[in-house]
Amino acid sequence: MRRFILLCWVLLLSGAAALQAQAVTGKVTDGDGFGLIGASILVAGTNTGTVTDLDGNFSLTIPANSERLVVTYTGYTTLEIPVVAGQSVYEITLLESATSLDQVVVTAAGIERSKKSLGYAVSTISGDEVGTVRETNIVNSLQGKVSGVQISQQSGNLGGSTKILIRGVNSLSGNNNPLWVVDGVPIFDNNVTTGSQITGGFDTGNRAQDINPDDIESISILKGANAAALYGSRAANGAIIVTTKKGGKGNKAQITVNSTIRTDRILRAPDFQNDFAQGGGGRYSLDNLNGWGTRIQGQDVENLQGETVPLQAYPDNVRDFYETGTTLINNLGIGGGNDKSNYRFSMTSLNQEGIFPGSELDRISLGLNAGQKFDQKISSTFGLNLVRSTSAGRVAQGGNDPNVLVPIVNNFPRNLSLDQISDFVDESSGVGEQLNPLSPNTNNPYWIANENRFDTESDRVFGNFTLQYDPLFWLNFTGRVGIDFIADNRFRSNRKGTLGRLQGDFTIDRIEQRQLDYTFLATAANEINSDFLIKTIVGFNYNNRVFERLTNFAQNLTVDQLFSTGNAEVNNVTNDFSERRLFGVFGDVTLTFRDYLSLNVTGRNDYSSTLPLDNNSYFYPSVGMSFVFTDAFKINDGILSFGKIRSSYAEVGGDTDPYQLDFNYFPQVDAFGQFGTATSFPFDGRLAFSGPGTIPPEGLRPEATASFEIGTELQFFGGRIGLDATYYKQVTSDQILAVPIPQSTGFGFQRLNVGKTTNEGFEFELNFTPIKTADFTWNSLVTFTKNRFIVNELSEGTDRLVINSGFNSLQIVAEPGKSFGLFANTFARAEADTSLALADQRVLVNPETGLRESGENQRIGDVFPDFIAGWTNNINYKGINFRFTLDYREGGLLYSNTVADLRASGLAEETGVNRERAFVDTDAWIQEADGTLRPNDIPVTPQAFWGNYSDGSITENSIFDASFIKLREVALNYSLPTSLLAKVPFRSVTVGVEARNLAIIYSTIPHIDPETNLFGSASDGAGIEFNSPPTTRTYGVNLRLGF
Amino acid sequence: MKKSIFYPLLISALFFGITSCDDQLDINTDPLAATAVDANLLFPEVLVNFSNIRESELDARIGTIVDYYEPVNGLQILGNYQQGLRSNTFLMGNVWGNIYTNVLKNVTLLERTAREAEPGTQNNILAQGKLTKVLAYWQATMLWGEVPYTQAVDFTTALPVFDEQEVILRGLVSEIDEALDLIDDTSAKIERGDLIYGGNMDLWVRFANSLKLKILMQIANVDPNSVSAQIAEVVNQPLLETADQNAQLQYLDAPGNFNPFWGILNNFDNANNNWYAAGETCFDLLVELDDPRLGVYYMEGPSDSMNVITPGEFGEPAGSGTYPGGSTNSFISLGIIRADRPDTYLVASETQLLRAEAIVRGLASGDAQEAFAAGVGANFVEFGVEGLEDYLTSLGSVNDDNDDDALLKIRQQLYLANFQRLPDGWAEWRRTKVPTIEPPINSAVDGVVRRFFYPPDEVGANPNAPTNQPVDTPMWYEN
Repeated sequence: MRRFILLCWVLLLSGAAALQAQAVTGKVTDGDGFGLIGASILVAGTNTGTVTDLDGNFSLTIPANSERLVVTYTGYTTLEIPVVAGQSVYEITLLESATSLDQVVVTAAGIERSKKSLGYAVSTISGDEVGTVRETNIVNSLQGKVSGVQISQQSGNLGGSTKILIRGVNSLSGNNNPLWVVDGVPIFDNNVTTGSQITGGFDTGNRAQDINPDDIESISILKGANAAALYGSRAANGAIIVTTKKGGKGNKAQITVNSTIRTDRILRAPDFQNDFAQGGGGRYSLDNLNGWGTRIQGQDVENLQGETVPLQAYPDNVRDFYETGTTLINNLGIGGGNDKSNYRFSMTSLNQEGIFPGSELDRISLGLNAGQKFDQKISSTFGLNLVRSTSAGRVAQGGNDPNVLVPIVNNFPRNLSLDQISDFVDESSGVGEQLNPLSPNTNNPYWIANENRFDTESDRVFGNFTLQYDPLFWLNFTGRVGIDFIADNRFRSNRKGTLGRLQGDFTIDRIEQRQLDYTFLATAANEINSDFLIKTIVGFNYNNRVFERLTNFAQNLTVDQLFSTGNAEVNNVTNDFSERRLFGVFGDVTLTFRDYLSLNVTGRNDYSSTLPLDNNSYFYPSVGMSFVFTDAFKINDGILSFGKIRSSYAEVGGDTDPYQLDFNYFPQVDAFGQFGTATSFPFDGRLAFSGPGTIPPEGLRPEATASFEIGTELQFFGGRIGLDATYYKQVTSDQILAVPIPQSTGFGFQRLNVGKTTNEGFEFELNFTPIKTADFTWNSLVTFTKNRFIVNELSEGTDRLVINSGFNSLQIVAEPGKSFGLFANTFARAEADTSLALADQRVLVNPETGLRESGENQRIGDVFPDFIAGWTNNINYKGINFRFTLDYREGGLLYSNTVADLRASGLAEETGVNRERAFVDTDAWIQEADGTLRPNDIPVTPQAFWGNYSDGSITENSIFDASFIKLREVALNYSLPTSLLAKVPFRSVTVGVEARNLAIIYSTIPHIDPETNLFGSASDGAGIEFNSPPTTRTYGVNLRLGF
Repeated sequence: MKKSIFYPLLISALFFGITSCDDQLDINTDPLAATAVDANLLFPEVLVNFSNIRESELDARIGTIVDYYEPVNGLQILGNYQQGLRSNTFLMGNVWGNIYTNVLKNVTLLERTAREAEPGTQNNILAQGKLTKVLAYWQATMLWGEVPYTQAVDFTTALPVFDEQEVILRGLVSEIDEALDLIDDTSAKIERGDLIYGGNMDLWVRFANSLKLKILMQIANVDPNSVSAQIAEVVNQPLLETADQNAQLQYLDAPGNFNPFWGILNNFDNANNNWYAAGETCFDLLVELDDPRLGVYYMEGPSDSMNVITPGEFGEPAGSGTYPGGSTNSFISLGIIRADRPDTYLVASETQLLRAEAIVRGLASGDAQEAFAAGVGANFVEFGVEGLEDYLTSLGSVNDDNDDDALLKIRQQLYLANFQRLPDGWAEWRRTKVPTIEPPINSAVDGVVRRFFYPPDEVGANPNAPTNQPVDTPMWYEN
């Protein structure tokens, strides 16, 4: 580090020596007359130059005999103006570049770069793209609009999480989420779960959703380790760089109001049979919720209330249980600036009511950005965001918890009228008693939704504070502090009288996360001669993250609905704490030759507190090259208007989680018991400790990812057609992973450096403008991503690694030479077919029963999609803008527990077919004693067939091709023309209608949205749906006003 | 010039002035964990976890196999019958993980710490640990047959081999002998953390001998000659004689320390029992013997009659169904499934009945009727049952029966004495096959379940895991 300071000094001194005399002043403005901040003015052929201040003013001493000034500003066309003898004031106007290729992208550490000079692929999305149809979770807005990125919404819960994967999974450890960076500082995007998929989990959402779509100026997606080398380990999976809106130009306040109102309805409810009542074996039974009862023919039966009523089907009872959700989003933004300062303040309130009774999400976001330029070549900016979110009535998913609501609703008997269960509580005795539970073991869903709470309340502050010093026009020092603070309070209760938790309980969960990030950068940029420009950055980074949690689980409540710890017979308190630190020093050198050939070399060394003290340092380099051959060879033949090739190679190291190195004993607060029967310590006055579940590592090494990419950017016909295509290959090795080991060793896991995985893929973005006239333009963007993930090797002696497991032996498994596979129990197959693919093997039935027999646990196929694609269209006609986005995913698998349940319980539409006749499972065979096969000819009842076919423990037939095409987003906006605006006090008026998640155009999965997932964004357990809350279809109207 | 230097220095000082790299990075010690703990703190973790899994998984689910009960409501996992050959991996994964990664790991850690002390000073602790391990391995082999034993939880072997049941059972007997040799009057023992005997080493000796007898009787089932001398010897050692010597974990009628078997009913059925209906086999045997335990083990259901439902007509496929026959039946008594029900690891009644059997079979000397009466008596005391004398009189003396009749009588009592003690009751039944049990009608398994499948986690991680055998494949010690 001492060497680094020395370097700063050298740079400083060498620059200071270059100054001479003779002064001019001037101002650089854009086409509208607003000053451009930071435009660079260079005296051609010299090292002399300066940058403009906040208002676009500059002063410069021009050496004698100078001929031209070169004025550059990223995003604008470079201008050369002659130096006129005797002229001391220069008014310079720059025009915005015609093509997007000159755009500035914000890359690592908040460094702005011309996109032209980048050696790697970056996708940029404007604030408009995410701000037009605003999503509760910003991540959802990116769907279909960026190549190389797979985005999957995990459930229909309000504020639920969305998983984002950039160029596939790199790590086997489950930590594959990209780093989120707002205005140069990293923020948390983790998803701290409550519960697990086994015990009934709540998806509380990934925290990037705290970013307010109204405040976004642009989003850059840095896709590989290449792009993110300067951010260090955490960006090994890519980085999403958000730049927020800053105060506008001019002293006049620019005020915007953006209001949206929307309604949400369940996108897809299962298709039910409506001919058969609850019961079994063709007989009506009130205690049996299955749909194997008698044919519904108006006969008299007893209902839940004990009344005798004619039997009747209620085809819409499930759909009607879900309410119409509403969303109201209001934003007020005010911004402006003057000579010295800029300012923007934004306030957004989001009020959402979900489709589950009693579910709601409210969020208030306050954002403030301001900057001040001082006389001493010092400027300072800060951005501060305060976000308060409260939610209630989030629905549990998974199993083993009475609050998992979706299966209760999906399994409504077809003859159940919602009127019969709408009375769910009797408060008359002073102690609420549950009314009309569906069966002796199944709670009334209205009781679950209304009486059992899951409330969250989170307060978050994140922001950045920057101090800049520009002693010389070519030299800049920047110090930046980023903070992120989340206080997340959760409350969960089971009211006394909840079947499964009859004694009542509640949990108070207080989670606090803090992040502090310092970055210091010294930037020097100078021309070596008229052909070569060199830009050097050296920097230092410090990052500190703290996680704290205090949870109390209070059981056996005495007074109903009194959530005081003193009211509980048992209180189990647990606390958790972890802290980690990282130091990084880095350098970045860019050498540009004649503006068309750029070479970029970076290097970074990190020191992490989570690694062994004697081996906590790791270095990683990157090199990138960009070549604009159209400029170099002066190609401009009217067809090809721009062409660039780029390539880069980068390595990134990685650390692990805190406190993984020591062999520790942990105090225990309880001992596991099935069905919510855990006992607590002290037990009979005795405390208990346990050794670790994971064997700590010895001689742990940092992880390493190496990534190579090559790509091209081409524009044809003056930008009417543009293509950005990339091939990449990313190899991650020495992964730090808790490897599952045989439990017979006494431990479930051992933490080791293991394995090697490869992601190899191809991605492109193709934009074209099929029609362009004065009034009418149609822009189209196609994104395509094909990623092939391969596990190359696991730890020595291991040929199988369980990455995640759901229920019933469903597992996501890593095996060398393959992608992540979904393993499931299958039906028995003919021995003669063993060599064939599973799908081609003949299924066997039991020769006595005619039912399929259980076989082995086998790999069904790959979890990840073959490719994903998106198609976004923007059609403008005068003030009318129409846009829509389609989303296409091909391949991959999804296990649906919901489908299995609906079939096994005789509720799904297909189970009503042939119901009253026995039939033969003709897709199956009978194996004779000598091994020969004959077609199955043994009739079975539909109840026996479906019960066996969709059995919870043989999951083969409940696994589907996860391909889908979705109409993701449609919006129609109309902006009032200026001629009309003259009469109203508005600068701009835009009204629009919008719709999200409009339709599943194609999917082979019955009954459910193919896009749900049990595991949430914190895990790589894609491919398993387990009682996930249904997703919604949204319609809304939007009004935007500018003052 | 001076000014130009000043500002960058100021800014850089902000970042460098406050840090010294190595100190700042030396924060990787978990503040909420200990690096060493006393045996008294590890032992409760071992015992409570061991019992919780027995009570909430085994007692609550596999009583169907030996037909102590048949589920009416609630639990749809009927032993393994409805699952058929599809092993219930969920249940078994929990039990496997519990035995190895909780019970055996923490006992081994406790022993490791004891060995680090001066030799000889911790012998009782080592004995307590060893006997607990024997109990855990015995349970493991009773559930799966071949399990990792010789190389398991040794903190060195990465992929433990699965040992044959014979190797395990004979090894456990040797380990009991080693434990008995370790017990002395002076060395340190676990007292406060010993939730079984509170550090009473005399009772640990009785427990050790009784467990040895039980395992020897299993070996004797297939190879009596190899263990007859040991059996003859051990029956003359101190054994569990009375119910107050039972090795057990006493749950408390105190919130948080409830018995989990009862806890399920507390959570789902308001502490009633509409879940576990009487199993016909057990119920009929009690009726046949005019046994006063009938009204203790079972209680009347919602209707008046003490009818028994037809043995398991698992007519309906998986899903939330109702057991045929409705709910007008008798159920396991709330005196059996109660908040402070102890989890009994080994009881005097079982031990004395085993002694009676050993005598009848000529494997040991003594008065068979005396042992028989002691066994039945200990069971009556354990459950507070009246009318022991009349009952014994009605049964007649085993000394007056021929060997077959005597054996049947003893083994019937063994089955009844082990009521709702799983896997013990199941383990003894597989040895004795008394009473006759049929698999349920429409069972997906041909025979009575004898074993479980290995959990997929172990199979996936350990290439030494043998191929799963059908769940009705008898174990080595059966005949």
